Amino acid sequence: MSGADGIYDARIKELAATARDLGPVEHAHCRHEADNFLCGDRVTVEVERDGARIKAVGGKVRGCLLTQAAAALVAQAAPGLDVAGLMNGIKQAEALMADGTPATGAWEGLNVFTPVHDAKHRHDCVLLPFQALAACLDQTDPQDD
Amino acid sequence: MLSLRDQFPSLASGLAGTYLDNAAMTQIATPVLARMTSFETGGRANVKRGIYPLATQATAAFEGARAALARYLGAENSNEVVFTSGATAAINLVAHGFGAGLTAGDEIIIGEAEHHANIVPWQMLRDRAGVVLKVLPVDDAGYPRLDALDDLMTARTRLIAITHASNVTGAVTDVAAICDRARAQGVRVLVDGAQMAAHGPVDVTTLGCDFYVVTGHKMFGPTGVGVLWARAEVLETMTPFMGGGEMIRRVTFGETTFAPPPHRFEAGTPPVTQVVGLGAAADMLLGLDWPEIRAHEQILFGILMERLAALDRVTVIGPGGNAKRLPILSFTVTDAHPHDICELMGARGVALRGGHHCAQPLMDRFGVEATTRASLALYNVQGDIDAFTDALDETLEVLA
Repeated sequence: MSGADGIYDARIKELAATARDLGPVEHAHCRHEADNFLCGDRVTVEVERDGARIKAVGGKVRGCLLTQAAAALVAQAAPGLDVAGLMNGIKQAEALMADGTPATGAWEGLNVFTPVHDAKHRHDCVLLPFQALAACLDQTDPQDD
Repeated sequence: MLSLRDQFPSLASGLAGTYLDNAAMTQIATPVLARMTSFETGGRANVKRGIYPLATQATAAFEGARAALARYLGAENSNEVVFTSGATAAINLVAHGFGAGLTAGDEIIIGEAEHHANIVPWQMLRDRAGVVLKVLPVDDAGYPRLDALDDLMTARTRLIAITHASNVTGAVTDVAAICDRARAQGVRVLVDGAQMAAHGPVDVTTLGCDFYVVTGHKMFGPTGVGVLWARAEVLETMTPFMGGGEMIRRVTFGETTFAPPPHRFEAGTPPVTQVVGLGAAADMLLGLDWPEIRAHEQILFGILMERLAALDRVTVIGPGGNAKRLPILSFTVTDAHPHDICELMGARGVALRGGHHCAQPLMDRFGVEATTRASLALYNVQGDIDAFTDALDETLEVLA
C-alpha cells in the first residue's frame, strides 16, 4: 500500500467506470474538446439545455482514471442546474485542487477527489473535464434557449 | 555490472530507485560530473577567442569534447560536429539551414515512428517554404516499410528524416539501406539518433547518412547540450540558423560574412560546461565493452518480455523479441491507463513513462491513446526487472 493508492479510492473507480456510458447528447447547445497538452488526454464535453436549466451533459473521455471519473461526475451533477450552477462547480473543482477546500451543495460529490489535492501533478487530470465544460459554456448565449 | 552501476551516483545511492525511464533521460555518470566540476572550479573561461591561459585551456577542453563526439559518432572530421542545445535544436538547425536551400514543391519524407522533434520542424518548414511532406509508414512491428520508400521518392525528394531507433517501440531502422537508396537518387538523409546513442558508438560513415543528431541527457551526459553531425560538404552549403557572436568572419553595418562550420552554427557563448561533460560521456562510453553490455541488456530485456507475456491484460507494442531493437518496451494494459499505472509504479519506486511519448502519429498508427514504457540502459540489473514485476502486480491489483 502506498500513499498514491489513496487517489484510486473505490468511489473514484466506480465513478470512472460510469464514464464509459457517456456519449453525445441529443441536441447539444455547445460542444468543446479540451486537451491536456502535457499528457495528450482529451475530453469532449457537450451540453444540452432546457430553457435556463441544463438538461444533459455528455461527451467522450480519452484519458486516465481521474479524468474519466471527473467527467462522469460532471455528467451526473449537472442536470437541473443552470449555467451559474455549472460555473460554481468549475470554481469548486479548482478550489478543491488548489487548496483542498471541500465542495458543497450540488457539487459535494467532488470531495471524492480530495486525495488528489496532495498530488499536484494530477490536478489537471481532474480539472480537464471542467475546463472543457467552461470553454463549452463560453460558446453559449445565456439568453439562448 | 555492479562496478558500472557504481559510476552513477543517483543509482549507487539508491535515490533514483528502479530507474526504467532511460529513453527520456539517462542518469549522469561520475566521470561526467567530475569533468564538469573540474571545468567549473578550475578551468572556467569563455571559449574560442580568449588568449590567456585559462581561456586557451577552456577552448582546448571544448574542442577536445568535439573530437570525442566525432570519435563516438564515427565522424572523419571533428569540424563536422556542431554543438546545439539538444537533438531537437539540431533538427531545427537543419530545417532552417538546409531547408533554406529548398523551394516550393521540394519533398521531404519523414518516418511514421518519429518523435515530434522530427516531425514538427519539417511541418514548420512546409508552412514557410511550401515543401511537401510525405510519410514513410511503419509495419505492424513498428519498422519503417522500406518497400514503400521507392514509391515515395521522386525527382523532387530532397531529404529523408528518419529515426535510428523508435523511442516508443525500440525498433531499430535499417538506416544503411535507406541511405543506399537515397544516395542513388541524390537525396540527403537525416537520422535522429537520440535513442541509439545510449546503446553504443555510432558509425555515421558506415551508415552513409548526411545528418545525425544526438542529445546529452540521453547518453549519460548533462542536459542542455546535443550534437548535429553533418557531412562537411553539406554543412558548407548551409546558412546559419542563429546569428550573433562567435559565428562570423566579418561584421559591418552593411553586411556580415560567416565563419566556416562548425562555428557558423554556434552563435553566442556555447554551453561550455555541458559540452565538456558531454565529451566526458563520449569518452566513457568509448571505453566500455559494448558486446558485453548489449548482451546484458538483451538478457534483461528478454526477462522483461517474458514477465509481461505472462500477464493476460498486457499487450506489447512493437517488434517483440526481434533482435533489431533497443531495450525500450511499450505496452498497454486492458482497462488501465498508462498515467495511472505510472503513478502507482512510481509510488512503488519504479520510474516508468506513460503517455504518447511525443509520438502521437505512431500512437494513431497502433490505435492506442498512450502506452506505458519501460526503457533499459547499461546500468540496469535483474533486480530492476524483479522490482518492476512486483510493482506491476500490485499496481494492477489497485486498479482492478
